[in-house]
Amino acid sequence: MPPPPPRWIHWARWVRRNHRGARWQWNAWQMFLLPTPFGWVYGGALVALFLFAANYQLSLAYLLLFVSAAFGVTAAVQTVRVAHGVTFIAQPPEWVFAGDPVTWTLSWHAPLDAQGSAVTVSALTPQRQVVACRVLFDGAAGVVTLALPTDRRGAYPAPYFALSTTLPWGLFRAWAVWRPPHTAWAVPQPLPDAPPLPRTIAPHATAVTHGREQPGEGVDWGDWRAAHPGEPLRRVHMRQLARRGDLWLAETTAPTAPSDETVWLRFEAAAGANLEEKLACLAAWVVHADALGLRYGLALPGLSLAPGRGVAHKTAALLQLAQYEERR
Amino acid sequence: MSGPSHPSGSWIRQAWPRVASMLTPPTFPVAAWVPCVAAGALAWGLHAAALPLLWNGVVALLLVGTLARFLFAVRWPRWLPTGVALAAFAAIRPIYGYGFGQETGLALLFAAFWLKGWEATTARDLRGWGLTALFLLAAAFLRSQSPLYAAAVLTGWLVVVVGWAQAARVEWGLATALRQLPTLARHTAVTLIASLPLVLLLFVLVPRLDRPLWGVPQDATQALSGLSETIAPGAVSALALSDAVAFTLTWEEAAPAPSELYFRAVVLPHYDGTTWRPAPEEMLERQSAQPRARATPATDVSPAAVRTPAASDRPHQSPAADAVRDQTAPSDAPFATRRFSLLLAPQPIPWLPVPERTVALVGAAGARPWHDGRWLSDRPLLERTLWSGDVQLTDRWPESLTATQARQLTALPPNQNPRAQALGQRIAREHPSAAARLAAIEDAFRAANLRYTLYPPLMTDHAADQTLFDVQAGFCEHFANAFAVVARAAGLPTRLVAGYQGATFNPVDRSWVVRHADAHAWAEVWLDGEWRRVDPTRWTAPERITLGSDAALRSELPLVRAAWLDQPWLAALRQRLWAWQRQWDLWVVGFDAARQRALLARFGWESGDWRWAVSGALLIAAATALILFARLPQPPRDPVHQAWARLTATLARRDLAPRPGEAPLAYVARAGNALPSPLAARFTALAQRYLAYRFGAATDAPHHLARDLRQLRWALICAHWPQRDGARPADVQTDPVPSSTKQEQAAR
Repeated sequence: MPPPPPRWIHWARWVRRNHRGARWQWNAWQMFLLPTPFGWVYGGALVALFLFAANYQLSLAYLLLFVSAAFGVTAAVQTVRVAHGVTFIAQPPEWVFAGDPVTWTLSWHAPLDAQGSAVTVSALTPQRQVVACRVLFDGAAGVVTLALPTDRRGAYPAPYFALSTTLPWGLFRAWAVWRPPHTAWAVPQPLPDAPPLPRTIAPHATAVTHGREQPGEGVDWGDWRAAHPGEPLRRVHMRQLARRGDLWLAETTAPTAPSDETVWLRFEAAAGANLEEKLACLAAWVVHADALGLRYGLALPGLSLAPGRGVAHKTAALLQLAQYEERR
Repeated sequence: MSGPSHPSGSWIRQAWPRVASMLTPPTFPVAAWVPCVAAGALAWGLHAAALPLLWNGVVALLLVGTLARFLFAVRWPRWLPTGVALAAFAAIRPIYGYGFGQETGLALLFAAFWLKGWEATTARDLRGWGLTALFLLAAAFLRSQSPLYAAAVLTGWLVVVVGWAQAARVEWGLATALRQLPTLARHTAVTLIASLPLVLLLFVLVPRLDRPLWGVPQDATQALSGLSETIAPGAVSALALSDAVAFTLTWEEAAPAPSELYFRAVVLPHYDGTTWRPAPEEMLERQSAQPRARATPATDVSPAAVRTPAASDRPHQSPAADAVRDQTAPSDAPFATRRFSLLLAPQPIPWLPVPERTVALVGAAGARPWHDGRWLSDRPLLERTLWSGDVQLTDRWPESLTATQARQLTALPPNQNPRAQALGQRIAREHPSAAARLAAIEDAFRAANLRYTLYPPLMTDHAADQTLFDVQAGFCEHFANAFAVVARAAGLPTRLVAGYQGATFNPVDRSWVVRHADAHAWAEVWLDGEWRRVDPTRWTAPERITLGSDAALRSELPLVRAAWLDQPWLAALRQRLWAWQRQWDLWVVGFDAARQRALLARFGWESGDWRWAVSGALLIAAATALILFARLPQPPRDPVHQAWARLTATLARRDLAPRPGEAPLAYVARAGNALPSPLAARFTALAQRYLAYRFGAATDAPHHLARDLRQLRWALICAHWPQRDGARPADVQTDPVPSSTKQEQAAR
C-alpha cells in the first residue's frame, strides 16, 4: 500500500474556492508539490555529492551532481502530471443514521495517458484522523468509496478530499485539495427501546407480519437476509454492519398492504429526557411506521409534515428530524 | 492442540512462527531488486582493480549472500548481518594496514552495500540501496575521469533511478515485472535528455571552488602512476611499458625538436651506492615553504592572460629570468623565448615536468621555482591541471656551487662499483681539465658498445660495474647511473635527473603527446660554472633520443603496442583518440574554477561580478522554467464544454447564437422553442443535463454527455430545417415563429 499521506496536506485550504464543484479534474498546473521524506534525503545526498566534488576537485563528480539535480527538477514535473486529465465526480451521498459511516462515492474517468498510474484519495475524519484509499486507474473509468464516520445527527458537508501521489519516483508528493458541494445528512439513530407507535387503531387490525422482528430491536425491519454485492446500500442494516461486520439486507417483500390508517408522530408524545432522545424516538417511530406501510405525519414545535407514505416521505421525515433545531 | 500421534509435526508447527520471526522476512519481486544489484555490481566493477584482492573476496562473499537470499529465498537469521558487519569492520585494519581513510571508507561502503541485501525488505531499503550505489559510482571518479568511466557511471546512475521507480511501484502496490525495465529505462533516459539543457547551464555557470573545502585524506595519491622520487635500477622500466599519456604540450611558436625536449621533474644528488635520492634538506624546505605558497592566489590561466607579459600575471620568476632581464633590460633585445601550455595528468609527485629552462609558469594551482631550476606545485596534483609557461633559451644558467656542495656531489660509497670508480680515477689522472675528463668518459662509454634494452638482468649490487663491464646492456637509468658513478670518481660534481624526454606530434590538434613510456633519466655535471646536461643514452642508443622510445625498443614492444606503430590507420585512430582525450580533459575534466573564469570572461563576465551571478541565476531559472512549462501538458479541455460550444456554434449558423448577457436557461428556452419538435425535446433534455453538469451536482459521465451532445449536433446539421441560404433567418431573428409553423414551412 502507498505511504499514507501526511495529515497536514489537508490543511492547505487556500485553494478551496478553486476546487469547489461536483467535478474535479487533475490539472498539473494547479497542484501542490513538496518533496517526500525520501526527496529530502535525496536533496541531502546532493549536498554530500557537492562536498565530495568540491573537496576532490572532480569535474565529473560535479557533472553527476548537476545531472542528479536537473533530474530532480524533471522528476517534480513528472509527479504533477502523473494523473493529468483524470476527472473525479462526486456522487451525492445517501443519508445515514448518526453513528454509521457516510460513504462518499467518487467516480473517475481516466484518459489513456493516465491509465496504469495511481493516486491516493484521503480525507480527515471529524477526529482529525486520515482516511485514505488508493485509486489505481486500471481502465477508462471506475469508482472509489471513502467511508467517514459520523458521531451526531445533522449535516456533514463534504470533507476536503486530498488527491495525492508520489509516483513515478517517490521523490515528490503532488496533491490538490478538492471539496465537492454535497452535504451528507446523519439522521437521528432510532431509539432501540422506543415506546410503541401512538396508533389510533389496534395494532392487530393491520396485517403485520409477526415473527420477523429481530430480537432486541424495537423496530420492525421486515425480513432480513444476507446481502450480495451490488445491492443497494440504503437497505443494508448499518448497525448490524457496524457491530458485527455482516452485511444484512432488508427484504422488500415485507411491506404490507397499504393501510388507510394515519398516525401523527408528535414531539410531545415521544419518550426521552432531552431533545436528542425525543428525536431518536421519533426516528424509531418513522422507521416503524414506514415498515408497517402506515400513513404518518410529523408534528414538532414549529414544524409539521403532512401525512404520507413511501420512501420519499420517509426520507423527508428523517431529514426533517436531522435538521431540526429547537426554537427558543 | 494436535493429537499426540504427530508429536514432531506439532512441535514444528508450534515452533515455526517463533523461528520465522527470527529470520529476515521474504523479499521483493525480482524486478524490484535487479536494478539496485546491477548498479552495485557496476560500481564494484569500476572499483575492483583498486581494492585489495582479499577485500574483493569479502565483497564477493557478501554478494553471494545477497543473491542467495534473492534468488533462492534463503532467509538469514536476523543477527547474521550485524555479526558479518562487525566482522568486516574488524577485518579492515588487518587487510589495509590502517583504519581511517578514504580507501577504507570506500571498502566499508562496499561491504555495507552488499550486506544491505541480506535484510532489505521495504521500499525504503531499496531507496537507501540506490543512494549508496550512487555514492559508490561517484567515487569511481577518484580512480579515473576518462570518458569510459563517465559513460559507465552515467549508465549506473540510470539504473539506480530505474531502481527508485521500482521502489515507488513496490510502495504503491503496483505490478513490477522484468519486462517493464526497458520501458522504465527509456522513460528515465527521456527524463535525462529533457534535463540536459539545465545540466549544461549548471555545469558552465555554477561557480566552482578553486581549492578544496577541507583537506582530503592522505591516501588519495595512492592510485596515481608516474615518476617516483627515487631511482633504483628497475624503477623506470615499469613506466616505460605504460602507453598512458603523462601530459600534452602545445607550443605557441615553432616547437623545439623532440630530441632536444627534456622535461625535468626529479633531481637526485644523493647516492648511497644503490639508490639515488633527493637532497635530504629538500623535504624540510618544501614543508617550510608551503605557507608562503598558500598565500599566493591562483592566477588566470587563459591564454590571453598569459600572453600579456605583465608582472602580476607571473607570480614567480625563476632567478635566471631575472638575471637575464637585468643584463639586457636597456636594449630589450628579443630573446629566444618560447611559450607553451601543458595539460598534466594526475601524478604522485608535486614537481612539475616542465621543459628545461622554463622561466615562468602559471596554472590552476600556484607553482614556485626551485633553486635547481625545477618547478614545485603548491598542492598535490590529484586532478588534471593546465599550465602555461615560457622557456628562455639563454646560454648561461646562473647558479653557484659551494665547495661543500661540490664535495657532496662527488662523494661515492667506497665499497660499491670498484671497477667504475677505478675507471673514473684513471680518467681524472690522465686529464686535468673537466671538459677533457667528460670527453674521455664519453669515449669510454662509446667504446663499451652498450646495448639498449628494456629487459636487462637484475643488477642489485655494483649496478654501474655490471652495466659497463659485465652485462653491457640496460636502459636510460642504468646508463645514467653508470655515468654518474664514473663522473663522480673522476671528480666531476654530478647529479641524476629524472623526467621525460621526447614527445610524439599529434597532427589532429597540433599538440605534442608525452607518454609515461617517454620517462627518462639522465645526468647533470657542473662544468665551467653551470650545470650541463649529459645524457649517456645519446652515446649508447641515439635512436632513443632522436626517434623516441617506441622506435628504439621496437623489437621488444608488446605486439599490441607494435601494431599501433605498424598500421597507419591504427596510428591515425590513436592520434584521433589522443585529440579527443585532450578536448575531454580540457573542457570536461579540466573545467575548474580557472577555466570557468576564462570561459566566462570571453562573454564579458568577470569573476565576482554581480552581473555574472544575476545572469547565471536567470539563465538557470529560465532552463528550469523551460523544463517545467515545456514538459507540463496543457490543462485538458473539458470534452463536454467543447461539444456544447460546437453545438451552439452550429445553432448560431441557424441564428440561434447565445446573446450577450442572456441567461443559460433563457437561451435554452428560446432555442428549444425555435427548434422542430423532436429535436427540441432532445435539445431541452440534453441542455438540462449540460447545465446540471456545469452548474449543479453532476452525475453524468463527461464522455457520455459529450457523445450525446455531438450526436445532437449531427442531427441538427442533417435536419432539413431551416435552410442556411434562405432569406428566412432575418424573419426568425426579428419575429420568432412557433415551431409548428416553421415545420410546415420546411415541409413545403
